[in-house]
This record gives sequence, structure tokens and C-alpha cells, in this order.
Amino acid sequence: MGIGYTRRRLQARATPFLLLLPALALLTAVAGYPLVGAARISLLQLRINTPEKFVGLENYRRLLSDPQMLQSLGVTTVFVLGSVTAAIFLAYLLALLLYQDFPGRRIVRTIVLIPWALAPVVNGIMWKSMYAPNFGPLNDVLNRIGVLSQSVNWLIDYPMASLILAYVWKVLPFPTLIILAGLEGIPHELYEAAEVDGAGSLTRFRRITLPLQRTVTLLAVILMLVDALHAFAVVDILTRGGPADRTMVLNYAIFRTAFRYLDFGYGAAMAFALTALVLVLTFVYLRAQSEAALATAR
Amino acid sequence: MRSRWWGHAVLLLVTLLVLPFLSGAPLQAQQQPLVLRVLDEGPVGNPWAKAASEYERFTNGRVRVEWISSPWPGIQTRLATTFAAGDTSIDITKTWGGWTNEFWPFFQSIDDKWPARQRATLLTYALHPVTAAGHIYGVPRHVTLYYFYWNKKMFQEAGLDPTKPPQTYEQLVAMCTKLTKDKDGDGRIDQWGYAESMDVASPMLNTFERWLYRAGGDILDARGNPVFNDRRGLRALQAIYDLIYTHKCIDPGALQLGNPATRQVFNAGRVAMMSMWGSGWAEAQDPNRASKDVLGNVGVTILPALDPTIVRSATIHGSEGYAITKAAAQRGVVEEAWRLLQYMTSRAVQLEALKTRGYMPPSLALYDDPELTRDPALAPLMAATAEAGRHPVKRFVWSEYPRLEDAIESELQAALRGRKPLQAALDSAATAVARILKGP
Amino acid sequence: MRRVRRAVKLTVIYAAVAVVLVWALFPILWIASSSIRPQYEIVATPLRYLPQTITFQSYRSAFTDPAFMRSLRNTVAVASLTTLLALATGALAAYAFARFDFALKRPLFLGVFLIRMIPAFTLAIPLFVTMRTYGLIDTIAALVLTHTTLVLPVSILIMRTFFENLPTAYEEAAMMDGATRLQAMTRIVLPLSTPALMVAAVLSMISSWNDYLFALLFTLSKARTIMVAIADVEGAFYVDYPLIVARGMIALIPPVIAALAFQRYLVRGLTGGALTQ
Repeated sequence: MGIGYTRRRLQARATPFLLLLPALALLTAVAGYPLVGAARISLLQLRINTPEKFVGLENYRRLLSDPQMLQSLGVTTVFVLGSVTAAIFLAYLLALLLYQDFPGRRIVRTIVLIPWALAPVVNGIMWKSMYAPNFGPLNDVLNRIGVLSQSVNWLIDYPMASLILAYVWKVLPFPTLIILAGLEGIPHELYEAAEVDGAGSLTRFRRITLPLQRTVTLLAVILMLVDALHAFAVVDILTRGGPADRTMVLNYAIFRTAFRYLDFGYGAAMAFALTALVLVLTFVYLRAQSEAALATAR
Repeated sequence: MRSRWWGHAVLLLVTLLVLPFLSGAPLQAQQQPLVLRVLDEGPVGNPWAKAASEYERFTNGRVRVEWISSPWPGIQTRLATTFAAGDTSIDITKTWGGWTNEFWPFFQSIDDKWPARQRATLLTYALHPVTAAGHIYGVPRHVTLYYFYWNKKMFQEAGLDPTKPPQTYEQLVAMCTKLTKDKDGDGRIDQWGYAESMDVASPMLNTFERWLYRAGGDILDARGNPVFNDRRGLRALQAIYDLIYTHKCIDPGALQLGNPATRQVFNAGRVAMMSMWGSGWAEAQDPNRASKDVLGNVGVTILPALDPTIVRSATIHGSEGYAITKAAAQRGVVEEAWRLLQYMTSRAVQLEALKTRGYMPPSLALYDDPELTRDPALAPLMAATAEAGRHPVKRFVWSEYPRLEDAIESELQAALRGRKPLQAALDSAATAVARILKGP
Repeated sequence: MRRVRRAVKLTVIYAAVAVVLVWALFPILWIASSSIRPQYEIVATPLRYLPQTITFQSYRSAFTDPAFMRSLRNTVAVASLTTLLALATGALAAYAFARFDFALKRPLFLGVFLIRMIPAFTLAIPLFVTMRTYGLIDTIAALVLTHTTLVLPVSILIMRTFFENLPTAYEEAAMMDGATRLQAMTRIVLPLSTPALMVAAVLSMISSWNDYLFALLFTLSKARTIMVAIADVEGAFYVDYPLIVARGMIALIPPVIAALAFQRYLVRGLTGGALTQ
């Protein structure tokens, strides 16, 4: 009995690892191993035309004294906070609309997904055309309906806002789906009970929907955060980080350093710094959220 | 039962490991014809891709050309990755001055293949962009320079002589102002006098360079120090700034228009004059690209002077070509690659490129060829090219070109958006350039 | 009174729906119209939203270009293999994270997610070297492996969330009857989780389909995908704008069909309707 027992326990212990094995093997081989390679590169002075040289943490030290890095950090913060806030806010509006019961809801729910399927490259090309000065549809429509009297140079005068709009337009369906899923998960009885108690729709939203949506919002925020930090094609096609570096988000700065300036070592160091930043941000956010959750639970 | 689920896990793993080999046909299997791999832009509208497939037929299938197409900005990304990884998958790559200067250690010098006598049959400025560190690394396929285009019909409508394009800055300003109109009276301008690309991607540095050279200035002096912030540089930048803000005859929107978009607005009849590559000419003759009012109504000439006492005209002379990589040498196919390149840059292909897309040939002889100089669809462009060749300027290229370009453009943009005094912007750009050239 | 209130509510809803439809469709319709007219019309004065001259030249030339059609087939192969592989490996891993307590569970889960946080460029060069070592450059396999790795973290997250919200009673009953863990999972949990699997599938499919960077770097000509084929129309001196847009429109069709076909699962699949306990 003793042997069989140990064996079964061993087997029970091994099960989760065996289930994880294929995924982890793949992740390690395709991402883990190159990641070690990239970490090594970040410790090198590796330019395309000079022999590689080990420089230790020099690249990271250089990061701290690079004024462009600081500026880029600021730009990234604005872009990420702006897009995530806008995306979550609009996703709520959209989800609340799609949550309503009206004839034709299925079709509308379907159409709303289309931007999600559009390739980032095509999205960039499309918005470049939308934002065109005085012959672009955006200027044309705003002029025709009388909002503007002169054409606006969107990508020059409002580069960050234009970038955020083009980016949010494309990613919006995803947080909307997540939030909509959350809304549908709230039992109807709760609303009905509140309605019997005389709560208005705003009160119901504030007292029932929002608190119950905490986990869902969290999921949406984290996924958006990670995605926004990696936005690339839209920046590359619309502004290339300009004008005058005003939209030089870190991810684009990394690309520029590694593939345009061919400074691979420094580029890798920047990437690891960005990753660390994302991790810290996510961690702080999760921490704050769980503390807030604890506070409301009490 | 127990063994069963171990089996599943093993099966999955095996699938994972085998999958790559199932879908990836081994490269060795296709060694029968000799394969030459060319990295270039896509085959759409690309006369050299067409020539390469003709060459396959020409060799009766002995040579197969694999066309690795990338968008223009993607070529640099690809080259960087390939060379950094020590990969050998590219035998021939498209190159221009910037890339030759960055990647020449990975290119095969063709000094010995190409006798000086033969090289002398090309325009001299065609060779600069394929030369680095005193060696030739590439074969030019076409030369690149900017021309001045004007819409004759709009000139007529504005009461200007359609045969007389501006020759000086003053004339340009006068005509430009006259040609800027609000035709439908809605308070918004719908015909602009002049356009040139000021978008970063195109790049804007080129626009500044063209004015700078006409002001007699330069980016760097003979010792390699930045001098573009001197009074000549200021004069050049002021000239652009004034056209936009003082004379108000360039759409400020030009700051977000690249070369392709500039051609679009010109060919749609929204702009009366533009500075553009030779492709501007080809597109103005193409009924799919030029509107009826533009088609057949376009003239081409050299860029107007900024100050005729300095220089009549200046453009940025350059070329694009093909380089053979060291990888080709390792594979022992340099000879074959060289033969392919000779075919791809032959007279017939140069002619085809000129006629279909306005790519100017590097061969001197073609500029005296009566077949071309008498062809009304080509003669004006050929004449303008020959004329521009009398005012040659070596275009600025450096091994750190992208970094320098970004540093300068960032400041130029600030200046042209009116966010920074012109001199201050030029000074900070010069400081940034000096820092980059000094190295980290 | 009630009828009136409902009518007012519906009016408000349809007004909002109209705004949403314009928001979602206007930009796409704009470029779609750009793809079927000559280039000069796109910037004509005054701007016209409907083509004056309709030409399907760009679509014709896209569909008759064998290299483009091959890239289309490659992309279908890459995206579907990626989806299958991500679902197979992801479901197993998600199940382990959802149903077991084991050493290193949290660090492993975070580690998986960490991979999603690394900027893709960082991996590009070392990964290129790896792919080269295995002789995978210019193969579909290189892209399948890379894309699977990129989509796995989010797929695992979504499936785990769903599994966690499923009651364990069914599996326990099945295992009492002598089923193994894997049988319990494949025969009971997975069928119940169809919506989550569909979400993971659509997500994987769309990300793989739309990848440009790795498709550019890891392919030469044989395994080239559609994103590179769209972009490579752009030359330094020659840009066929209507053709780029037409190719972009063609590339949009398969992911839209996928999203539409699985639309009814998408909402349920994200949470199993029980995320908000």
C-alpha cells in the first residue's frame, strides 16, 4: 500500500507540471532562450560596424543620463495613460449601449468588432489618410458641419491626441468585449431588487455595476496597458515619434535605437528598462486594486 | 489508464518538435538551379524585378532569382538583422548612400570587376552613393535628383506665361502667391501655389539640404564639423519658413506630407508647382494618377535659384543601386551575381525604368541618345537632368546618417512649426550633430 | 406611459447606435472607397466620398499576382496552425493553473505573462539567430512558433479565468467513475469551455494574421505573409496607394469572418459570465 500511495502522490504532484510542459517548453525555447541572448546583448557594446565589446552595466548607466530617455518616458506615460483611460471609458459607454436590449443588437455587436480585425499597418495607413491636411476626410467633415472654419494640421499640431485616437479606435473592441462580458455576468435579480427599492439607473450603475465590475475592469486595464506600451505600427506610420520627438514613445525609441541607429546593445538595455517599468506599474496597480478591494470588503 | 495520459503528453511534445520539419521544406532540396537572392522593394511597378525574371529565362533556368521583397523602410531593418546575426540569406541588396555607408563591411568590393574605363561611362554622381572608404561596393541602377514641376494650365488661368517657370526665389514667391487661390469662395484656400515634402519620413532633411546648397552652405565642412547653422543655413531655412508663413503660399499641411502625398496633391490639381523626384514626371503622365486637368499640362525644369549670384540651381544628386554581399562571396556566387547585375543595369532595362516610372538612367550616353531626347514624353525630363548635372552637389551622407537625420529634422520641425526661433533651432541641431559625430 | 418611455429609450439607443456605426465604419468605408477609384480622386477638390470613376484594377492585380496569392495562403496556414498550437498547449497550461496548487505556481504564471511584456524588437535578433540555427528561416514553422509564443500568455490568462469559474463537481464525478485527469479535462471541461476556447482562438488568429515584424524578418520569399505583401508595395519613389489599400481590404476579410463567426461566443467566453463573483 505504501508504494502505491507514494506513487499516486507523486503522480498527483507531477500532473500540473506535465500539463504545463508543452506550453513552457515552447515559451522557453522560443522566448526564454532568446531573452537570455537579449540580456547578454544589453551588456555589450554591439554596433553593426565594430567588434562586440563587453561593457557590463554601461548601457544601463547611459540610460540614466540620457535626456531623450527621460523625455521618452514622459511621452510614454501620456500615451499609455491617455489611451488606456480613453479606451476603458469609451469601452464602458459602448458596452453599456450594447448591453441594452434592442432589435438589431446582434448585428451592431458584430459590426463594432471590425476595427479589431484590421491590421495595425492598415490602421496606420488609414488614419494617415483621415488626418490629411485640408483634403483629409476628418478636416472636410468638420468643416462641412461647421465645427472648424480652417483645416487643422492634426499630426503636427495635435500629434499625441491624433495618435491616441487612431490607436484607441482600433483596440476599443477588445476592452468593450471584456466589459460587456462582465456586465452580462451580473445577475438581473440584483438590479430588479434595487429598482424595487427605488434606486435610479445612475445609482444602480454606481452601487451595483461598478463595484461588481472591479475584476473585469482590472483585466481590461492590464491587457490595454500591456498593449499600449507595445504600440508600434501606428506610431511608425503616423508620426515616427515626431514632430520634434513629441510622440517618441519608448517602444518606438527602442526600435529606432536598435534598427535605425543599429545600436543593439543600448536598444536591448532600453527594452529591459521598459519591461521592468511595465512590471512595476502592473504590480503597483494590482497592489492598489487589491487594497481598495479589501477596503470595500471591510 | 496511467500510461495513456503520459502518452498524450509525449504525443504533444513530439508534434511540437516535428511540426517545424513538416512545414519547412529543407533549402538544400532546391539546389538544382543556382539561386541568387535579391533583397529589394516589391515587384509591383519595379522594372528591375521584371528584368531579374527575364534573366532567369535568358539563362534557360540555370539561374533562379529569388526576389525577397520588403517595403523601403523594411529593407534596412532586414539588413541590420541579417548582418547582425551573421546570416547568409542575401546575395544582392538594394543600396543607396546611407546604407552603403552603414553596411559596407558586409558588402563585397567590386573594384576589380569593374574597370575604371567602364565606370567612366556613368554620371559621376551616380557612383558616390555606392562608394565607401575608397572602394566601390555597388552598381548604380538609377540616379536620384529633385526637379521643379509646374502646372501650365494653372499658370495660364492665373495670367502667367506657361512657358516660363520661376528661375529665382523672388519669381517663385511672386508666382506662388498669385497661384494661391480660394476658387469656390468658401473662405478656404483650395489651390496652393507650391509644395515640397516636409514630412519626416520623406525626409525633410532633403528639403532643407536643397535650399542650403542653393544658399551656398553645407551640412558639414571639410573637417567634418557641422556648419549648417551659419548665415547660409539660416537663409535657407528662412526661405522655406517665409513661403509658408510670410507669403502663405505653401499649405502648412505640407509639414505632414511625404513625397507620395505631395505628388498626389499636385496630380489632383490642388497645387500649381512642386519640387519632386523624377517619379513626379512619370506620375503626371499616368491617367490613373493624374487628373484630366493635370495630364499633359506639366512642365519640368531645374530648381529655381535662391540667389543667382551664388548658384543658378542645386539639387541633391544621388543614386540607388545594388550591392553584392560578403555572403555571396562565401557561397562562391559573386561571379554569377555580377552577371545578373550587369543584365539588370543594362541599357534596355535602364530605358524601361525611365519610360515606365521616370527612373533616370545612370549611363551618360543615354542623355545624348536621339531616340530619347526627341521623345516628347521624355525630352523635358532628360534635358532637366542634363542641366542639373551642370550644378553638381555631392549629397550629404555619413555612416551615422539616420541618427544625424533625426537630430536635425527634430529641430527643423520645431522651427517650421513656429515653436522655436530659426537660428536657435539650427544651433541646437548643430550641437546635437557635433555630439553624435564625437561618438558616445 | 410605459410605451412612450420605451419609445424614448429606443430613440436614444438608436441615436447612440448611429454614432457608434459612424465611428466604427466611416474610416474603413473611406479607405475602401479609395481602393476602387483612381488615385487623383482621393484628394480631389471638393472631396467626394463616393467614387466618380469606379475601377477594380487594384483588386484584379492583387488577385492575379501569384506572389500575393501565395502570401495569402501562407498567412492562412500560419494563422490556423498558430491557433491550433496555442489552443492545445494553452488549454493544458491554463487547466494546470486553474485546478492545481503546486510549487512555483505564481512565479511561473507571472513568468508566462512577462513574455508578453517584453518589446518584440528585443527578441527579434536573438530569435532570428535561433531560427537560423534550426534552419527555420523562410519557413511557416518559424512564424507559427513565434506567433504561438506571443499569443500564449493572453490565451492562457483567458482560459484560466474561465476554467476557474467552472464548478469542479463534474470533473470530480467523472474521476470518481474512473476517468483520468486528462480525460476529465478533454471530455468535460473543454466542451463546457467552448466560448473561452473560441475567444482564445479568435485572439490568436487575429494577432498571428496581423503580425508584421516577424513576418518581415523571418521570411524571404517562400513563407512571406500578407502583411509584408501589403507593405512592400511601398517603394522609395513609387507608391501605389489604391493597391496598398486594396490589399489591406483583402487582408481584412478573413479575420472579420472569424470574428463574425464566433461573435456569439466572444462575450461569454471572456468570463464564463461569472468573473464578477
